[in-house]
Amino acid sequence: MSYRALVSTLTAAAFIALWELLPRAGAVDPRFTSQPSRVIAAGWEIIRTGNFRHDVAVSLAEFAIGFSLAIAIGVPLGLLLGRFTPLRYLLDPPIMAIYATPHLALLPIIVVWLGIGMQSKIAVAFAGAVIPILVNTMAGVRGVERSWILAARSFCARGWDVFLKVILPGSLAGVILGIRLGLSRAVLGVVVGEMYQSQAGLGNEVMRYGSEFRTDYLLFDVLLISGFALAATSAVRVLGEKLWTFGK
Amino acid sequence: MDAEGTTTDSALAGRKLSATALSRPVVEPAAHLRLENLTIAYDKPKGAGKLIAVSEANLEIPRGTFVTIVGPSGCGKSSLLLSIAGLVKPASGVVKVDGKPVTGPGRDRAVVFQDFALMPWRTVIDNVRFGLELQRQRTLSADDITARARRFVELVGLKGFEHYHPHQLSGGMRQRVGIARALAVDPDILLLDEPFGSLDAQTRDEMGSELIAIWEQNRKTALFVTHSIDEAIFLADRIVVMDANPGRITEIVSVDLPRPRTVETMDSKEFIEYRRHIRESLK
Repeated sequence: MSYRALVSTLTAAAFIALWELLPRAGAVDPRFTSQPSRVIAAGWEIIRTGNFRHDVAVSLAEFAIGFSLAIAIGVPLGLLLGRFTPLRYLLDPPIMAIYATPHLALLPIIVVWLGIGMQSKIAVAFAGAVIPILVNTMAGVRGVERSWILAARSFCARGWDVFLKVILPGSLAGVILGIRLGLSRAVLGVVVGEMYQSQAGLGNEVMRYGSEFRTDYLLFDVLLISGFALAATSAVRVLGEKLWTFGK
Repeated sequence: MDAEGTTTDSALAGRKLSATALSRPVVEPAAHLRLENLTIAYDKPKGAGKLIAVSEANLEIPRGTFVTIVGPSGCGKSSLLLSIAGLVKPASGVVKVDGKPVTGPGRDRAVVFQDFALMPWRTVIDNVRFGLELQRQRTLSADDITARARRFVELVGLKGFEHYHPHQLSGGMRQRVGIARALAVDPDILLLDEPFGSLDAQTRDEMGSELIAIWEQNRKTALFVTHSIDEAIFLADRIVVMDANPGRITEIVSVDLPRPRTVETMDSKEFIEYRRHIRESLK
């Protein structure tokens, strides 16, 4: 094990041990902090009973649809804006304005428009993810060096070949970065959207457990969500590295 | 053909040729590459008019000649080369290859770039495949392309480095990849734009010797832009001397040093005389 991995593992183990032991020693109140053992017990309870599966399915669907839409629109639009300067000049100010806007603050209006069902969460997840994907794809395209394009042209490449062989693989790092950043914003959008107004989903559960002061249950759902976001982000990174070296 | 040769002779005579160039009998074989009144201009920023990079350049290069272009920064030597590559459109005048005007990049010409212009996501072998993929995808199978790329990787001395990425290589090795990539498509004319400009002096000399050794094998027409006088003489059959403001050809010098050339060539009396001459010419 590398030195770095060793230190990280030890830190995590120490944290979990303290979390478990401090409430047992009576140093802190487990009603506020919970404990690993209680969270695991609560998780077992949640999985066996209630609407857990349905909630997970709803949240996952909202995330998958909103995030896919964000990629499907953000990446091509980013490539386009990166390549065509006048279009970028035209759309850069509104995009930056939207980037700076706390889109979650628009939830009340979005719910009025789209209702409290899945649509409003899909919209929030999309709105959160599409901008970082767009902006980073654009930056990726602008990182494509002129000399690479010149080299391709010197070998008689035209439009489509230049795009496939140079611009796309050349901007891939930016695209992947945008997708990684967009992913966590899509997760956040779904959860907060569900916490605000919803009939189902993990955010809905979190809100309910919170109001019932069931810390153990609430923490299980939160850890589940962050575990998912972490795994998905790592998957995107690994996929990006594979694609990058394969890019030709 | 004869008529064409005659016009060229008079055109060349019209430009002040050095004694060295004139000392050779001026019986030119049909030109492989010809520049006729080539003028290249760029737009100045903020609409401040045009910048003349190259003004009224005339040049004639027989097949199989190694030509170096030497001159100060801003004399338009790179612009000249890129317009022969078909990557820069001239404002007026024409570039002809085998008598046919150049309208854009073509399979008969390949470029080696100053900053290497390698794709960082491609390995050495895949960078050498790059030009082949673009030009031969229809005629060669993927395996044939790889086999051909491998041959040229070996030719430039990078056997064993096939699967390295450019960022893992030294500057000299990167430019070997650039040279292999250009040679792999089997061009008639090799265009090199200050290929060793960013290398240290020692690597530069080594690369020059190796390039000329590779060139000796099949003697393709080659144009090599440099700002190093020694490099220009060492490699060349002919040196095109350019000056700036506006960029123009001021002299064409034939180099009668025996081939194959080695490091010792650079210490010969003749070499030193050429060096003195070019330095004078550049003043």
